[in-house]
This record gives sequence, structure tokens and C-alpha cells, in this order.
Amino acid sequence: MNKKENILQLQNVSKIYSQGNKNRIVLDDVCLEVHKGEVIAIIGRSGSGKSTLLNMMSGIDQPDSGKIIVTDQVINQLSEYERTCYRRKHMGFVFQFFNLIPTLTAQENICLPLELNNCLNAENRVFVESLLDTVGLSEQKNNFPDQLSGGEQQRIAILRAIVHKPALLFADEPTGNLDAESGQNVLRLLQAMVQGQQTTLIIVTHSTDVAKMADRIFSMQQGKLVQLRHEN
Amino acid sequence: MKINFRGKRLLFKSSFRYLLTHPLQIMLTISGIAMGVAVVIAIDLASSSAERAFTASAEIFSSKVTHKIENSSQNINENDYAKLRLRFPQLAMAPVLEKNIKIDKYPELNFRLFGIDPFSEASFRDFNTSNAGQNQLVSLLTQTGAVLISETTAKKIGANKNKTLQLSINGNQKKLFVVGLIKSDNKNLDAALDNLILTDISVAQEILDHPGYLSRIEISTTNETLLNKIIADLPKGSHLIPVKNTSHTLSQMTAAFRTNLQAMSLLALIVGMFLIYNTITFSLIQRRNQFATLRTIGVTHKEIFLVMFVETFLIGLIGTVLGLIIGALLGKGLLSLVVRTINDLYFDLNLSQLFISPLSLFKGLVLGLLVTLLSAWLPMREAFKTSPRENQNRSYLESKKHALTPKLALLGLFLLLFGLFFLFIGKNSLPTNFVLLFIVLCGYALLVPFLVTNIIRFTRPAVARYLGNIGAMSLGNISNSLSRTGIAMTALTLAVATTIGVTTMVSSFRSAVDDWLAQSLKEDIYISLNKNLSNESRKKTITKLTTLFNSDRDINNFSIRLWTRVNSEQGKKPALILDLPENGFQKFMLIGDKSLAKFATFQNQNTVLISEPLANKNRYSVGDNIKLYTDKTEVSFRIIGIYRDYTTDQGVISMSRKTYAQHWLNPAISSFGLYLNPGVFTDVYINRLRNQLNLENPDIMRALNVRSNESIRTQSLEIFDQTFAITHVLRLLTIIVAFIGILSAFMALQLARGREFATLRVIGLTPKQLWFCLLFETSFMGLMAGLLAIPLGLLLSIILILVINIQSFGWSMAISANSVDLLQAVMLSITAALLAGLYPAYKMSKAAPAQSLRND
Repeated sequence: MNKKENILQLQNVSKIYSQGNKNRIVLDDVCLEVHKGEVIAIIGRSGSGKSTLLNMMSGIDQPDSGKIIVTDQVINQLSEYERTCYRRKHMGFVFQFFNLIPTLTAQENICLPLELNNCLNAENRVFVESLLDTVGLSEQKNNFPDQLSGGEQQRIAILRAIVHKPALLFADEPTGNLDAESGQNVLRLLQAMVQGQQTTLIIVTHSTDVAKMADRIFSMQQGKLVQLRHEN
Repeated sequence: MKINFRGKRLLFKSSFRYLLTHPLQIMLTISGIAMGVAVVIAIDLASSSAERAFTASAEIFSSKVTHKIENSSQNINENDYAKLRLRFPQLAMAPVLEKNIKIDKYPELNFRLFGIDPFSEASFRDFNTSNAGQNQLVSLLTQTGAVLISETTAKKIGANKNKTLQLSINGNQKKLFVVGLIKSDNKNLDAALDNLILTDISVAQEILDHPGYLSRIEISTTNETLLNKIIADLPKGSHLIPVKNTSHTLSQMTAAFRTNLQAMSLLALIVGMFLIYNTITFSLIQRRNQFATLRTIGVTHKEIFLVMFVETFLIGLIGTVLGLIIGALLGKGLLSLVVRTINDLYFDLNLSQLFISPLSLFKGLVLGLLVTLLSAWLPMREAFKTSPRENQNRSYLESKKHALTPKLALLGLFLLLFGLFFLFIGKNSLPTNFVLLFIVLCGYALLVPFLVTNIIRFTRPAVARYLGNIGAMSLGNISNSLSRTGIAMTALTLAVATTIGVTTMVSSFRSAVDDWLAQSLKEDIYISLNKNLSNESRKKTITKLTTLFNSDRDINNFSIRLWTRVNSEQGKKPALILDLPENGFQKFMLIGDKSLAKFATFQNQNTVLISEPLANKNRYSVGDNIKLYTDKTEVSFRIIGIYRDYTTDQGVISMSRKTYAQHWLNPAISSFGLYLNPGVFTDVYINRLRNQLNLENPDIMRALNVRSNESIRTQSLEIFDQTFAITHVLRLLTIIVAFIGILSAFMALQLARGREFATLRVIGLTPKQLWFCLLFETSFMGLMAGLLAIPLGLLLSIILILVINIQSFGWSMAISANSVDLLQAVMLSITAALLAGLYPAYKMSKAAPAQSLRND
């Protein structure tokens, strides 16, 4: 079997937060290799460091030590500006509270990453229309977020996250704020999108149902990343 | 920073929609900026219009004049002009009779009556650019009572070309014939023609009942030999005075007044700055999640900054443009106040039209935008620096603000002490002292959040005990939302402190003037002679009155005074020439060294008393000599005392009539002061005197103005109040800006807490309790701002009185703070805050909890 291509590597990543006089080790020498097109789920209790890990992997936050390599780029050695530009081009994000821009319509929210990457052209506008059609929200494309239901908002958020075809997609509790049925719909959409685009998906979640869709499941325990389920 | 607008259409669209979805908040911010800019522009336009009027007047009336011949009696006999004309036929020389007059029908206007000799005018003033033309200047000679008036004057008094004007001037009926209208082709010079009545010198003499006399003779030559010959031929009591840039001198004279006005108007803008800072900070807090999301999906720091910059710039631009329009309108209203103060304090100025200077508007535009961007800089920088992870943390900004509060307080304390040290120790220019004053204000402003936090910490337990958890919660809200409430309270504190500072300064000044009037107006009755009296009439009147007062048994004694101007090393200075009885010498409120100020020395030697402004501005001390140019030669007069005087900030030189007569040839008298015998009632005596003079010599009675000590005092204080009317208007405008600020802050703050209030409503808080909660919170903020404003206000008044006033005007005074004024200021603060809390409270109590919970 051919060795799978790594898209993300965490090498001995540590992060310590100081709380008053005490230091709390949030990430303790974490190592991880994520392959292209893989779906990874990270589960753990509240405050276990899942979101911190996600922030490290996406370059939002910086580790105290260790390396985070995305494709061949050590992203924690990049400047803040370079990491932001790297994120806008190669990464997508889905949040628990949807985080759509309230002053942009559904369609404009989806177009935003394309515009930031200077590739909002006629062809991509058609692509956005087709994505809206796929998720059944064509008619609501001119609605503002507060005119959409939670499930609709999350579907728009997913489209915004994948519209620029990122190599890595991060989802932080994507169903945490939805009812069971909407949650299932969102998961199906997420799965379909990453499969269609060969995007690597990293999900942080409490839900074992959500984690089931992953190829590998990891648990954050006392700052360590413990693999719970292997591929296959 | 490289700015690239490409690929940011959606970011700007989002920002624009944010502004549209917060119309009230944005409208209030725009109003705050507009009011701040409007106040500065209004003052700038009014004072630059006044300055422009001086310059234009100098340009039209005296640009070609190199020298003028004046007399210490302020009147030149026209025969002296004729002699000089014959002696120097080639010399460009023109006689002028000039006076400001009042037309009874238009008591609010000052008219400038300018009498000329049309044949001599060509070398001096060029009215050919007007439609009047040279022929019409000559036509002044052919018609009886012929006058040329400016077009603006014609409009004001409903006159027209070739029409007769029946006017009552200074109480006398005059028939004038308008032979033409003067219109300058140069718009910049229009102001000088405002209220001008140009006529032949003989008509002017007739109007003023001043036959045979001139105000001055103007000369245009640089030939030194010729000038020396003129000096040798000058009639007695006359002087040849070089004319050096008159407009510059006038401009210097009013510089301190204008600086004070500008500084006060800038204060409104500074209060506006806090408001802008508050709004931008609030919009940042409100959108922190949105910015965090944008940063996470790849929007850079610079892009967020750019969006906020453009947003702020637009708000600033709209606010500034609106401010310029309001400022121009406000300027029209303030012009009359500025002109009145200039007329009261400095010289007669004829100006009723505001000149909208493009330069002032441009300055206002730059200032408005600069101030907006400067105030927004810190919050924009915060948005620029904060990482997406920090932005997502809800309490991040508040905790950051709390952590920063003690550091800001330390910085504030340093600035406060720094400002005070250099204000009281350093010898700085007036603008520098205003900068230091603003540093003191900013220093105190930085202390406010720290003081508020600690006041709340100490009062919370008591409030919880007496008003329960709802009261305690309200106080907690103030402290917890310090990043929003702190600035609003600071702005209100500054505005109320300004009110206290200026009120205390003005009331201290008023009380000092009242004390000074009480001491200096020793006589019971004052009889002044009409200024327009001819020399013959004047002599006749003086003789008659002197005889009368010497023989009147009701009069214990009387004083004689002459208000004139004498030439000193520092230029022409007002002089008060007095013939006093010994007990009248006590009228001088002497300050400092009093050892030399003896009545006998004042009466019999070459000595003078000088007023405090003259001493302060020229650093004269008791015992120094002051050199004066008399009608004969230069003489040094010993200064035997410095006295408190609020007549004019140019300073006054007082000397005895005996000393004056030894050196000057002017026998004129301005007024008599009567000391009545005990038991004689002032009003009764005034009536008797009027009746007696009316019967014996009605012409003399018409030339006199008889007034009691009491009425002069009352009128002086009325003039004082008029002079300071502009200060009250500026103070009010500052409060309005602060009110808009606090309303905007409270509105934004309360509306942002919709979810919190909805939760409280859900768990059982009644709308009434919500009203109480919100109004208690806002009024407590008002109370704190009011209380914190007291020390700053008093400090401000001390600086204004002990530093700014002495430096600007040379006047010192005792500080008298009035507890009623302080209480009123606190009440004003509470009322402003309470009013600002009403709408948010109404809005919140009416909001359906379910809706608020869903919308958050």
C-alpha cells in the first residue's frame, strides 16, 4: 500500500496557559499526522484543550514549543500576517454558533472567502449559485443570517468554509447548536462536501455520533492526544 | 501602511450595512462631531470676520497713510490744516473727521461717519472701484447733506440712491441726501464698507455739531526732510505719528481674547473626541465576534483596520460637513456677541455680516476629520492588534480595560501634575498654557475610570443594603461595562467641570468688578459731557458747571476727570486725568507696595499710578519710571502705585490734572464727580440739577449725561454680563455635546444588554423594576460625573484666574466659588444622565423578552 500523503503534522506541540500564579498545561507534547482527504474527530471534555488544539492547527494561536506543519510549511514559524493569508487560502472553518457575518446576505457570506482570495469571478458566482441549489437554499440566498433558521445558517457556514476549496477544513462542534435532525443534515452535507473536494476535515466535538463519521478518533486527555479508533 | 481596496467589496458592504442597522447610534455620533466642529467653526468664523473687518478697514481707509497728525485734545482745528496745506502744497495730505454714530431707529447698529475732503482723497482712498465713482465723490460738495453709503447699509436702513434720509442721529434730526451707493469690487473689502456713511467734512461737522474741527490730518510721504519740516511747523499740542500696520496692532490687541474663545471652543471638540472614541470602541465591542470570525477565515489585521478607518472617516466626513453648515449658522448668532465683547473691551467695530471664509471651512474640515480619526485611533489600533482568539473571548475587552485602569490613572496623575507644574512654574506663551490646561484636563480624564471603580467598590455594600440586589446590580453594571461607561462619564465630567470652572471664573470676576466699582465709584453723582460737543460749547459748559458746583451748598466736593490717550514707550495708552479731593484718592484699590502712593505726591510731582494690566504686561513695579511723550518733550514719570482696574486690559495711566496740565495742552474734561453733603438724596439732587439747568441753559443740559453712582454700577455690571454672554453660550454648547455623548453611550450600552434584560424579565423583573434599575444606573453615573467634576472645575477656575486671565488680560482677582453653582452643576450632570437614560429605559422595558433573547 502506498504511503499516504500528510497534509498536517504536529510535532511535540505544547501550550501552557498561566492562570494567576499557576501554569496549566493545555497541550503536552502533542504529536499527530493527518493525511490528505482524511476525516479526524477530536473529542474530550470541556476545557480539555480541544479548541486550543484546533486553534494551533489552524494557525490562530501559537504553540509554546513544537512544530505545526501544513503540507510543507511550518506555519508556527510564519508571521501573523502570513498565517492569516495562509488560512484564507488553504483552510475553511465551521463554528458551533455559525458565525455568519450578520450584515452580509447568505450568498454574500459564501462569496466572502472567494473575494478575499481575489477569485470572485463570473464562473465562481455560478459555482456559488450551484452550491446554494445543492443545499436547497437558493431562494434564501438574499436573506440575512437572522432571517435563517439555525440549520440553514450552518449550511451556509459550511458552504462558506468549502467554497474556496481549502485543503483543510476545521469544524468546532458543528452540530452543537442544532436539533438532532438539522444536525444530521449538516453532518451529511459536511461529509458530502469533503468527499467531493478531497478536503481533509478535522472536527472537534462532544458528540460520539459526530465522531463516528471520522476515519480516526482522538481524545484529549490531560493535554495528551490519545487515539481511540484507527482507520478501518 | 500599503492600502489596497481590491477584493474588499463585501467587507465594506458589511461595514456600511452595520452603520445602516445602527442609525440612532451613528446619528448621535455624527451629531456629536457636528456640534463639536460647529462650535469651533462658529467661533473661528466670527472672530476671523472681526479680524477681516479690521484688515479690510485698514486696507481701504489707511493703506496709503504713512503718518497722521493728531492732537492730545483729540480735535484739530481745520485752520491748522489750511495752514499746513498752504505751507506744503505738494504734500499728499487729507483731513478726516471720523466718529461712530448711532441712528435712533437702529439702536443695535454702530454707523461709521467718515468725513473727507473729496479733492484730497485721490492720494489716500480709492473709491473709484465702486459704482459711486470720482464724480460722485465730488457730488458730495454740490448737494446739501450729501452722503454716500454702502449698499449693505442702504439695505439695512431702507435707503436708496437719490433719496432723502430723515434720520435722528444721537437725538438730533438730520436730513441727508444719498447721492450714490458704494460697492467694492473686491469681496474681501466689503466688510470695511459695512455701516459706512461717507460724506464731505463740512457735512460731517454739521451732523456731529462739530464746526471747524477735524479728527486728524493724514499724510502720505516717506520723505524724512519733509516730515521734519512738518514737525517743526506743527500747531501746539499736535503730534506727527507714524502709522504702522494698523490692522496688525488691532489684531495683537484682541489676540488674547481670540485665543481664549478658540480654546473654549476647542473644549467642546475635546468633549466630542471622547464621544467619538466611545462610539468607535462600542462598535468594536459590538462586532468583536464578527471580527474574530473574519480574522479566522483569513481577513488580515490591516484589512480590518482599513474597514474601520474608512467607516470612521465617512462618519467624520458627514459629521464635519454638517458641523461646517451648523457652524456657519451658529457663527451668525455668535458674531454679534463677539463684536459686542470687542466693542466693550477694545474698540468700536462696525460689523454685522459674517464672512464665511473658505480657509476657516477648510481648517474645520481638516480639524473635524483629524479629531475623528485621532479619537478613533486607539480603538482601531485595538482592533488591529487583537488576535482572533482574543476577540472570541467575551470578557477580554472588559478585563483588559480593568487591568489598564490603574495604569491609566497613574499616567493621568503624572499628566495632571506635569501640566500644573509647568502652568504655575513656567513662563509660557498663552497657547502653550492652553495646551498645558488641556493636558491637565486629559490627566484628570484618565483618573476618572479608576475613581469610578473605587467609588463603586466602596458604595456597593451600602446600596445593596438599602436598595437590594437590583440596586447593587445596577452599580455592578457600571463597573463591569467600564470600557463603555467610563468614557461617557469622563466626557460628562469634563463638560460639567468646564461649567464649574467657567462659572466660578466669571462669578469671581463679577464679584471682583463689583468690589472694584464699589471702591472706585466714590462720588455720588457723575456728570459726563457729550463726546460730540464742539470745543466752544465744551468750554462754556465746563465754566458754567464749575461755577455752579463751587457755589452749590448741597455739594461737599467735586472731582474732575478726563479720559484721554497718551503716548508711551509701549504705544498709545488710555489715561485717566484726575482732579480729586484728598478723600477721593482712596478710590484706587492699590495692590502690592503702597508705600509711595501718597495723595500729595500724586498731586504735586511727576508721578503716576498705573493699572494692574499695564504693570503685569510690561513688568512695571512701584518705583519704576514710565516714559511718556508729552506735548512738549519726553518725560519720565515715577510709578508710585499699582491699582486694580477692570476698565480695559490695555492698562490705564492715572495722573493728577495738575501734573497733566504741566506737560500737555489739552484742557478738556470728560466728566465731573459730585460728593454730596450728608442728608442730600442723590435722586432728589439729580432732579433738581436737571430742572435748574433746563431752565437756565437747556443747551448745556442736552450736552450732559447725569447719572447716579448706583446706576453706573448697575449698568457696568450689565455690560459685564453682556461681555461674558459668549462664554455662557460656549459653555452651553459644550454641555450639549457632552449630553449627545452620554445619550449615545447609554443608548448603545443599554440596547446591547438586551439579552441580559430579557433574562431578568423572564426570571420575574417587572418593567417598573427595569425602569428603576436603568434610571438608577444612569443617574448614579450622572451623580459621580457631577461630583468628580467639582475638584476639576475648581482647579480649572484657579488656572483660568491665576494663569490664563492674568496672562491674557492682566487682571487678577480673588477666587470665589459659590456652593449654589456647584450644586447646580451636579444637578445638571444628574439631569443630563437621567434624560439620556430615559429612552433606553423605555425601549428596554417595552421590549418583549422572547424577541430580545432570540435577537441577541
